[in-house]
Amino acid sequence: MSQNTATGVATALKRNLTTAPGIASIVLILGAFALPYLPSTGQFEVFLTAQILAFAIAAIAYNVLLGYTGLLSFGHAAFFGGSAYAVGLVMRYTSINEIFLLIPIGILAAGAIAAVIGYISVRHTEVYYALLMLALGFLLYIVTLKFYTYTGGTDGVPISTPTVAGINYLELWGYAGYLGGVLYYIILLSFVLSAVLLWVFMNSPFGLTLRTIRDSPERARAIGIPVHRYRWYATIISGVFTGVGGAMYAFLNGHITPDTMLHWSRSGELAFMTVLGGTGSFFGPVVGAGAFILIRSQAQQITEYWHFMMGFVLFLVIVFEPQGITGIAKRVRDAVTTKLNNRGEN
Amino acid sequence: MAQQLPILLNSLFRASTLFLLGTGLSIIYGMLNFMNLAHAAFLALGAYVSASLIQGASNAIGGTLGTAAMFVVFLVILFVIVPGVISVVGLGMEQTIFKPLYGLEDDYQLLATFGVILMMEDSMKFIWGGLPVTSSAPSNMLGGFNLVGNTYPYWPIFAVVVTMVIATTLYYFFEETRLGKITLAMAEDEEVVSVTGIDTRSVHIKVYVIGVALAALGGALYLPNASITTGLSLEFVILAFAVLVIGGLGSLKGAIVASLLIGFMQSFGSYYVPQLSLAIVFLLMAAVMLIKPTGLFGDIKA
Repeated sequence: MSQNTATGVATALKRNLTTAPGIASIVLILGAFALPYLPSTGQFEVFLTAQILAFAIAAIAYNVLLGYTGLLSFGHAAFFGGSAYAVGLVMRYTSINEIFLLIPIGILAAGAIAAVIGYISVRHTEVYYALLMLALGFLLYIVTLKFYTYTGGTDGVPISTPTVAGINYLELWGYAGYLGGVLYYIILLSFVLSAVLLWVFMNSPFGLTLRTIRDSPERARAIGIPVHRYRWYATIISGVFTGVGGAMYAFLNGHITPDTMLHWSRSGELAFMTVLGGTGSFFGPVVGAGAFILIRSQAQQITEYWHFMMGFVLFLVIVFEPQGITGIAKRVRDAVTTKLNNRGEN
Repeated sequence: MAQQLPILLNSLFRASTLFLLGTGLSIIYGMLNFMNLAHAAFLALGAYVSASLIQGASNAIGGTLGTAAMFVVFLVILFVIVPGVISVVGLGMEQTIFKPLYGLEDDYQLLATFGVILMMEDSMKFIWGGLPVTSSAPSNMLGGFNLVGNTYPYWPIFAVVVTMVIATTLYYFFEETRLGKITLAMAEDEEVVSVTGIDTRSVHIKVYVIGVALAALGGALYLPNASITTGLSLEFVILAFAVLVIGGLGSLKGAIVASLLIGFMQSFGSYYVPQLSLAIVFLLMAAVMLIKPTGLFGDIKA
């Protein structure tokens, strides 16, 4: 990072950490670190939280495009699943079984896919961008599905438990110990690291450039911003971090299939999480990912038709509160503040 | 060459399904500026409803009528009742859930209608269950003929002819009728049209219903040669948009050419390179968008 961005980031950091949401985030993160050792926590809660964190990484990354650059992507499944498949196929065809080697492999794969797909797609905006990403992302789905001799086709690829820094924790601690003791913390640290990095990116001149492009591509072009190139960069960054989420999900789930990882409806789910939480704020998508996983895990217990419920919620959010849960929270806060202020005046 | 003949016919059949689906989507987007991701669900709904009705009709009056009379009953179901029923469903949806979306940006329309397609998919799964549904009765009654040593059914040829008649009618509709011309004018500038005293809302609804009916008909014609499963709409969504993007938004000629291109690529592709037949379609879509972003015949909107 260059020097001139540091001051901007430092000020933004100072401004944000002293607010109520900033303090709440810190408390939540500390809580997340303690989670596996809280008295009431079982394996299920740890698994669920890890799942939320994996999707939260992808959702924050998704918002780099939707919220900051103003691009709707229906191709993110390609980055999410591409990373997971890179991990799975490397494990299948090589003897590499070390998580700290597999994660970079997944990230690189997602970045490469994003670079290629993004390069083609960024020449277009709005619907065209969304559909081009959809089509190119779907290519990966088809290829994975059809070349079943190499990819396992619809059966997918099993992800065996990797070693961590050369140690096989599954053998030492059993699954519950591995999940709560090592994997959970790797996912949590990846989340924190990804969130911090993306936050710095979005509060740097780079992030400001993206927002300028979102608000008015014509003006951005007029002041000399190479709009296509920055959209491409944004797509790559978004893809890379979506890949982090995809790799984490693969390790957590232990098995990946084209339909759960690469189908375009997975991209729709990421869009859904982002919109549900709120595209207007940086941490909105985290809230969205959490709400999505929690609603889904509840809905799946009640009915097999949980897609209906998710679709219904998505529809309602867009029609009634396009700023999502954080938008509602902000409205409530504003209403309360106004009320308090009014009382003060009377 | 003789080997290619069945594939050629399959291509045309595939193309006619895609044309009926893509044209509906194209006129709804091109003329009404509404980006409906859920449009392909009307095709699936059309296929499901016609399967049920044909099954029901066969059970109820199957033995009492002669073959010819029964075939007429089937045709009435496929060409009148199914598009009618689905249009009513579609109209109900338009009035309730699509109307609030018209003012939104395209992006948000795509997202909201993604929610709608999830709801429709699950509703169909709820009604017809997870198992594949087939009803090939109309196709079987029509029989087949000998083509290079194999029996080829008459149904696909029948469907292609019907689609050609519909395409011609649509062309006439847009070129010659008052409503068609108003629709084209609305695609250019809806506000100006409304200033002239024309009730654009009623035109809007008519065009929308035509689009839905076409998709439903596509599902009804597609039905005898396929097994209908949940997930059908999600599969066809992308193909519908491929037609739209390759042909150009709101262009009838574009929809015809694009459906034919995709139909041929899919059929010949699955014969020569079975692994990549679908992939070729999306590569074509990407290539067209890179070379001519407005699609092959799109000039109405940039």
